[in-house]
Amino acid sequence: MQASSAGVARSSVDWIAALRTGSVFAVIGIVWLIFWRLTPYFLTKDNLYNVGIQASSVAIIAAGLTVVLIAAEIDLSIGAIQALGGSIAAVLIIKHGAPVWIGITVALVIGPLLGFANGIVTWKLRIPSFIATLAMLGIAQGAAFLVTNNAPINGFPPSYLKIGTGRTIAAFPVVVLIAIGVLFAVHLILNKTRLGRHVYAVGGDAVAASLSGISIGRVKLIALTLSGFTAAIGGLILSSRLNAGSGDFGTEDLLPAVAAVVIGGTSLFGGTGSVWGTAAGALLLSTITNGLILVNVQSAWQQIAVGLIIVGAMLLDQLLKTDRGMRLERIRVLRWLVAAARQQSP
Amino acid sequence: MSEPAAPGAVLALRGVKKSFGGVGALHGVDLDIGAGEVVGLVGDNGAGKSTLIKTIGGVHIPDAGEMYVHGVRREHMTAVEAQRLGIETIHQSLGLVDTLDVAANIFMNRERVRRDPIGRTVGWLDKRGMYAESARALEAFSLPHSLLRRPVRTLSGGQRQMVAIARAVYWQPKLVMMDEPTAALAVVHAAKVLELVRSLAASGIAVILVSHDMGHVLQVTNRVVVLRHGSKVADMPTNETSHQEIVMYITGHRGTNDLAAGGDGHEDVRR
Repeated sequence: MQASSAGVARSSVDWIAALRTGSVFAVIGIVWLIFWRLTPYFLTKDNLYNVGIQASSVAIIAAGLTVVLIAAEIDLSIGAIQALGGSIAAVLIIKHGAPVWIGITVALVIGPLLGFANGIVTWKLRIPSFIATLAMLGIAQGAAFLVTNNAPINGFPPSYLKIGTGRTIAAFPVVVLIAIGVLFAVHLILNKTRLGRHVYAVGGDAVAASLSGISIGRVKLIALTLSGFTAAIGGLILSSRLNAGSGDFGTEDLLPAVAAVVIGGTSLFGGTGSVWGTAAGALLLSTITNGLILVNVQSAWQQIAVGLIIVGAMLLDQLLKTDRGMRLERIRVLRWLVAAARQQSP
Repeated sequence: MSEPAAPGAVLALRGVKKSFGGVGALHGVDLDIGAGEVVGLVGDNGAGKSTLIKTIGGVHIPDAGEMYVHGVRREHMTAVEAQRLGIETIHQSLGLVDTLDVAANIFMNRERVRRDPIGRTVGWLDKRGMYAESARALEAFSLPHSLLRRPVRTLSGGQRQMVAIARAVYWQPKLVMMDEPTAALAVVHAAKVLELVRSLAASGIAVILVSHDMGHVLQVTNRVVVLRHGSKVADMPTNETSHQEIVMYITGHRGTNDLAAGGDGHEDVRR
């Protein structure tokens, strides 16, 4: 696939990535049109804000996950860390009457610490992140149930509720602003810093990266720590939206987050991807879920629709990436998703 | 074995040993190489050529022995330090990340950051500067600028090899090590690489060329060093040896027999 070379200014990978992200936005547009024809409620400001809030929750935890996947690792513990973050905030603020900022700070320290632990286990004990973060999933979730004593703790002060339910000018949701901020920060890290470059290098070819002196383990450690951080942010937002902390709030967000990243065009096997693709994936998922509820489709069909979108996104990748290695990779991705889906519905 | 390093030597090794999990890969290798010299490093598969190159390049830390770079002893040298001292390696795998573009590969782990205080602390990339410099690096090898932003995986085998060499040369090395640079190339491209080796040497750069192709080795090197089972069994001027003699050292029909006859545990080294 030799691109025409005369005066090529843009990289072909950028072009393909842009096309890939663009196509997801195009699908979003089509889906919006369809729902707009089907129900008058869809294309209203309030409903679109709801879609945005829903997409933001997923996009925030998926932002860190995107970095981890580009570095060719996975983080299965984000949902559980999210639950633990919200639980810790609830326990400190509601049970112990701690100031809101202390609850937030502690949650935002614990999250990256657990991510750091994921990274250390992956790096120093040479345990694959799939296993390390699976173990962390259990540990974080168990810890969340322990601190909350197995029951939701509700009744946050109003200042805390503003995180998840606050509105700014024109009733624009605060959550969406937070999500845009997180996405933009991760975008800057990935595209403008040496660290980001190294994340792509390690995920693209770990051997080549290490021959140039890049510490693969260190890069993966930072990626997993960042993922723990965005998961904790997600936990604060979720607990604020639900006005409670609980051991099982957020645990079911793992698969939508993975789906958002993959629909957004990030490779499960590293080296390529972007955080804006992930944002598009999250927006598409939340659009589908929201619209189908509005037109009274059973929730079972929503899950099927999401599954079909994932397959469609994979198919798109197949078409855009013509070389054989990439094609084989997509098959492995599909297998992985099938396995994950099976695990979810026993 | 502990004769001092020659004063002009870019690199001098004395009794360098390396083993992996108890399996010896290098059993005390001595090697000197001076500026502008081209040394052919040959040996059978598993003889220790790649291990030696990676040890010199700081990828492996030697278990024993001494390494001198420009007469200064270096211990526990990392890959980054080796690069800083002017040692560049073109690995057989080329060491390019396929998913990144050519400029990103040229600056891999040596990315330029912006000079302002924020740039330095955060590691903010100076992309414009890196593209401009990479364009210069490509120009030196008459590669088209259009390659600059292309991911390496879209390049042909010959182009990839040239990019790897261009990267090494861009950093103004004192010693360039090439591991099988011609193995995967068409004849035309191989000839180009050999020509390049000559011009590097002519500009005073020391070159270590690892190759299975005796024709290429005889064509461009000043000296041939033969490794066998992790030991140096021959080190001879290229114009005083022959294809046949080199092969005899590689296969053990020479050198190791002498070793058995000599029985003093020291290899027969012709200098």
